[in-house]
Amino acid sequence: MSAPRDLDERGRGLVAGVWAFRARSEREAASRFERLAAQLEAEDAAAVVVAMAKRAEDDEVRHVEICAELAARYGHRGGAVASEPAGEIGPRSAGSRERLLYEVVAFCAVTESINSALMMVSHERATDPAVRSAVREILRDEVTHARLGWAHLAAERARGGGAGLAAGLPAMLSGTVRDDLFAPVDEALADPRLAGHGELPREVRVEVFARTLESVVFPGLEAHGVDASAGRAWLARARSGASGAIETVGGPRTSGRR
Amino acid sequence: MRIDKLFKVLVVGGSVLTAGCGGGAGAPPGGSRAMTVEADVPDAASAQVDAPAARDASVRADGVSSWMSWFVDPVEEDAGVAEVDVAPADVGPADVGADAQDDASADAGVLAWLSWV
Repeated sequence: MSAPRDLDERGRGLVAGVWAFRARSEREAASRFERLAAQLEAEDAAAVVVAMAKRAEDDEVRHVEICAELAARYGHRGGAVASEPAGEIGPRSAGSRERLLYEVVAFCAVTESINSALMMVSHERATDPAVRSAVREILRDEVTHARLGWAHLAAERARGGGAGLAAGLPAMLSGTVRDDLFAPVDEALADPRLAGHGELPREVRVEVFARTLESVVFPGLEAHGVDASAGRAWLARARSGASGAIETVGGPRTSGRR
Repeated sequence: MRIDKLFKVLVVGGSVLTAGCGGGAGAPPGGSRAMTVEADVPDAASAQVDAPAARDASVRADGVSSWMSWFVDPVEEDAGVAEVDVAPADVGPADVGADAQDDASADAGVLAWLSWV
């Protein structure tokens, strides 16, 4: 694939960094799905959920290649994508089944739903053929990964699980975004041409994040009897630009840079 | 943006996959409500999730193949690109587990690495 000519060197570097970041995150996602599939099977989760988790690992490995190829096309010279550890998340004091549910909801029902929306909008705005093809393939899989989360939540709620999800929602949401997402946009750094290559402007990403929570995640949780009011309050604080809105509920951050 | 449509695609499309799992007499009052798939796009705020009846409609009829058409120009769509293995529901032993969330915030930021926003 030849390098796009409609971007200058700085633009290509920014896009290369974005796709390299995505390659690394997909590598970690593959690792996480590998572990989750084993845990779901051990906890006797629904067979369809276990099967989807196993397939998701393969999907993510394929995404690593897709993202790494695009990163290289835009000039990334980082080499092979190292495997990232994917440690367990969730309340330490919870039982193993509840902790697993927390992670599946956070990773699949929340994060992958957000990523699905982001890929949907990215596809709408992408102009580069290679990027459009990549985004489309990733979108297809992210939808399945998000469904995995909602499927497991449905099954676990029917069994009486998930009592602690409502209380943990602010921390869960805080963990899905970087500190700078809601910060003022530096217009000097904004380049609308990047959307054609898969990187949406930050104000669009903020809108996608908020609208996905409001129209998908919160109603989805409520449909399963999980009170989302604490999550709605967290989003309102974050969007209002309240200083420390994210940090105050999240504690120390470990997020990477895009 | 057509983000609102994702409720049906993701939440309903996912939830029906395990419809009927783990319910019965032991199902709690706070468990999943019945989910009904309305025609076309549901009102996300009021949508309910109903299940076995929705399984065919959501997963087979539009969940497997036509969801892509909501995002992607159908001309670009390949036949059968989206495949969801719908296995028989598996019901395991009930396990309520702990409800404490006192230290959940310790994990904040972990998923930011995986979220592309």
